[in-house]
Formats: sequence, C-alpha cells, structure tokens
Amino acid sequence: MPAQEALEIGLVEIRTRDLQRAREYYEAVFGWTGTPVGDGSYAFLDTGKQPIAALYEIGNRDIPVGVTPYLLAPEIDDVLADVAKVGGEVLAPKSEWGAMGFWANTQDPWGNGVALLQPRSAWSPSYRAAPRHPIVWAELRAPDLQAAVRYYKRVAGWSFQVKPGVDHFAFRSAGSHPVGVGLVGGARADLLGQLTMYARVDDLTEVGERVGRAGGSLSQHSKTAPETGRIRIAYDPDGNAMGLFEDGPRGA
Amino acid sequence: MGRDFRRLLQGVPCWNRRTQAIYEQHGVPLHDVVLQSRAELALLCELIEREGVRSYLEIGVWTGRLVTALHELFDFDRVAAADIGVVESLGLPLRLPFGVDFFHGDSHSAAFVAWRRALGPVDLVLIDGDHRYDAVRADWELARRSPCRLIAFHDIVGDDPGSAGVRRLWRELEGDKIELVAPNDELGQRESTMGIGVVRGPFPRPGDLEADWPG
Ligand SMILES: C[S@@+](CC[C@H](N)C(=O)[O-])C[C@H]1O[C@@H](n2cnc3c(N)ncnc32)[C@H](O)[C@@H]1O
Repeated sequence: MPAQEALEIGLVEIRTRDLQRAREYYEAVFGWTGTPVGDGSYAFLDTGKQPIAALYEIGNRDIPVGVTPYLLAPEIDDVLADVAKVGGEVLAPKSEWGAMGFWANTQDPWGNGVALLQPRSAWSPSYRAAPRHPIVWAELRAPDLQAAVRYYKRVAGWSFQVKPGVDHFAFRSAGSHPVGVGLVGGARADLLGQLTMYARVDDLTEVGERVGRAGGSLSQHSKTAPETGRIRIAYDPDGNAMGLFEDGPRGA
Repeated sequence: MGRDFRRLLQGVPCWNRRTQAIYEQHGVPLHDVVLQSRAELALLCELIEREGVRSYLEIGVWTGRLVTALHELFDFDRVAAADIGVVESLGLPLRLPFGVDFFHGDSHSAAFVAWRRALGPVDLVLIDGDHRYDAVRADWELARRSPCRLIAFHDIVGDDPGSAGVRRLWRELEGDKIELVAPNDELGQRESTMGIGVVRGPFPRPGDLEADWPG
C-alpha cells in the first residue's frame, strides 16, 4: 500500500487578548513583522519561510489563548473523515475563510489541537523577511505513542522515526520537511503541558534577553533538544509558549 | 504503470559528490545519506513493488536512511534491521523507522542467530553489513537458511577493494539472480561502482535444513 502524500504545516496561529501587544512582542523577539488584515483582529507575521505565523485577537474569554498549527490540506473533507475514523474530534467543521480558502479545526485523542487550511490556490505567502528565526519543530503530547503514530500516519501521512534505545519519543525529522514533529510518549507526555512549536534561534541567550525586555518570560532551564542543540521555552505576554531551539534542525 | 520512484526519491539524500569526496579522503563515507546510487535505489524500489514485498530486513543500516526511506514508500507490514552501530562511534545519528524490530549488534553473533530465528519469515533481506568475504558469506549462509523470498546484496560490481568480498561471493552464487545496476548520475558515472544483486528464493531451499544453522 503506497503511503499517502504527507501534509505539511503551513501556518501557525497564536491566539492573543491584545493583538497590538503581541505584534510588538513577536517583532521585538523574533523580528517577525506583522501585517494586520480584515477588521484588525488578525495579523500575519512574516517568519521568512514556511510556516508563516499569525496572531488572532480573541476577546471572548471562553476561548483560551494558545498556539495552533495548520496543516495544508488539498481536501479538508478527506482529512476530517480520517480524523473521525481514528478517534479525533472535529472542533470546527469546514468553513470558508475569505480569500484564503477553507479551514477546519480538530483535536487528536490526546488533546493536541491541529487545524486545517485548504488554500484556494497554491500556498505561497510572499515572505519578505530573512528567515532568521523560522519555526522548525512541533512537539505534541502522545501518552500512547503507538496510537499517536498510527493517528498521524492516517490523518497527515506522517512517518515517524526512533532512536535505538529511546522508547518514549518518535519524530518526523525536520531535514526534508518545513517543520519536524516530535511525539512525546509515555510518562514524559505528562510533563508536556501543551502542544509547543519551536523557532530556531542562533543565540539562545540573546533571544532570551529580548523575551524579558519585551514583556515575556522564560522557562528556567535550557535542556537538550529532541534532535540537537539547547532549548528553552519563551512565554509571550498572553502566556503562549514558543520553544527556542538553538542551532536546531534545518527545515526544508 | 508503476509509481515513478525517481520522483518519489527526490527528497532522499543518496550517495553524491560530497559523499564520494569524503570517502576518497577518509576511506569511510562519513555522511548522513543513503549509501546507494539513487538510480539503483529506484530499481530496487521497482523490484520491491513488482514482487509485492511486505516485510523487509536490512543488515547494515548506516544512519538508517535507507530502511526509513523504503518504509516511508512501502509502509511495510513488518520492518526489521540489524547493525553493530559503527555510525554512533563516528558521531553520526542513527535513526530508524518507528515500529522497527532492531538488533543492535554483530550479525555474526549467536544472539543475532536467535533474533533472526524469532523474527520469522521476511520477504526481502538486504545484506549490506561487513563487506569482507567471510563476513558477507556468513550473512548469506544465515539468510538462506531463514525463511525469506528474496536475498539482496549491495556492492556487486565495480573495483572498490572494500567490496571485493561481496563481488566474489556474488560470482560464486548460483540460482535465479537479478542484477540491478545503473551508473550513479549524481557522480556523472558511465558505469556503476555499486550494484545490487538479488537472489530469488524461496529460502530455505529444499535441502538447507534448519539443523545447518550457523551459530
Ligand atoms: C555500507 S553500510 C550500510 C549502508 C546502508 N544499507 C545504506 O544503504 O545506506 C554498512 C553498515 O554495516 C554495519 N556493520 C558492519 N559490520 C557489521 C556486523 N558484523 N554486524 C552488523 N552490522 C555491521 C556498519 O555499522 C554499517 O552501518
């Protein structure tokens, strides 16, 4: 049985209570400049390479802040059918998203929120910035690692690898994809609060200092990253996490 | 018409000019790529598809790129690998497909014989470990006494002294032999210096009694 064409992460959406404050933060820390669209509650952030980022201001406090990756899907309906078959949940059905195309929102059985975007035409945002701090990695909670590998194989066409002797972690290497994916299994999954995207930074210390100056905060310790390098987690003024991956994987 | 493996393999890094230069300088291809010519790998994929291979064992995986690429392309029902772990001592990463049955050790050890026995029937075994004659002969002797349909060898042509043992064994083998040989166009070659040879089974052949198992 041939493997299906894999879906790639094209957009990372960050929900905020204050779009202007968040714009200033991401520009100051990562150099991602924002372009507001529509009524001003949405802005795209130029990360320099796929995936692009976006800020979404949500006043309704019933909807939590958070970070959601969007998979680019040629046919959202097909993906939603697979999500339902393998135990995921459709949080928002397919609906129009203006000139962008269509979107939908899903959640896997372990609580990771993954949205879908079906662009109207080929997905090619015009990146102007140099890709100095691209988003290169996504880490998901997967207490049942086997099931999560099966789930994402079916839903996204992803194949995972392991390192011999490491049984709690499966990954889709960043080398030949825009964003690598790590599934953290077993007891370690409990230590992982939420789905976390990671940006590659050249100098963890320098970027870490900018986080503090821009009104964010940092996790206490840097630890060894899934592939190589040091990581720390930066929290924006809304409390959204973005991993900082020093000398991390070079995405495609 | 079958799938276009040349296209499907585009994103898979294979033995290229850089690998060749490193190999010529150090005598070891210290490079995290599939240690195969892309053209020959495409031929191997065509054979895997044609033969309906659903289970695969690779002896000698280097950094795991080949077994990973094949599993991504074919989504085997069962995938297994064995390696003594040379790359880890060279500072290169070793990564294997999720769900792999992995033997981390010497393919000539008693532990490997037991592991191979427990693994059961496999459609295709690729022997690509230690290339010295006695070593590759031992891998073959065990492979042909174990239940499988096809046994493949890497490095059956060329004049690299490092793979002379494989070429000698390949010449000696009898049976239904298939040669997958194509020049590596990433090196601008006119003639292959690698080549994949496949012996068709089923194995064990009548007369190759289980009692003859080495180890
Ligand atoms: C030529 S590389 C394999 C290349 C890989 N099949 C590919 O196509 O990319 C040879 C591998 O055999 C392994 N090896 C050598 N001697 C071995 C032995 N006695 N048992 C198991 N593995 C061995 C080495 O560690 C090395 O990774």
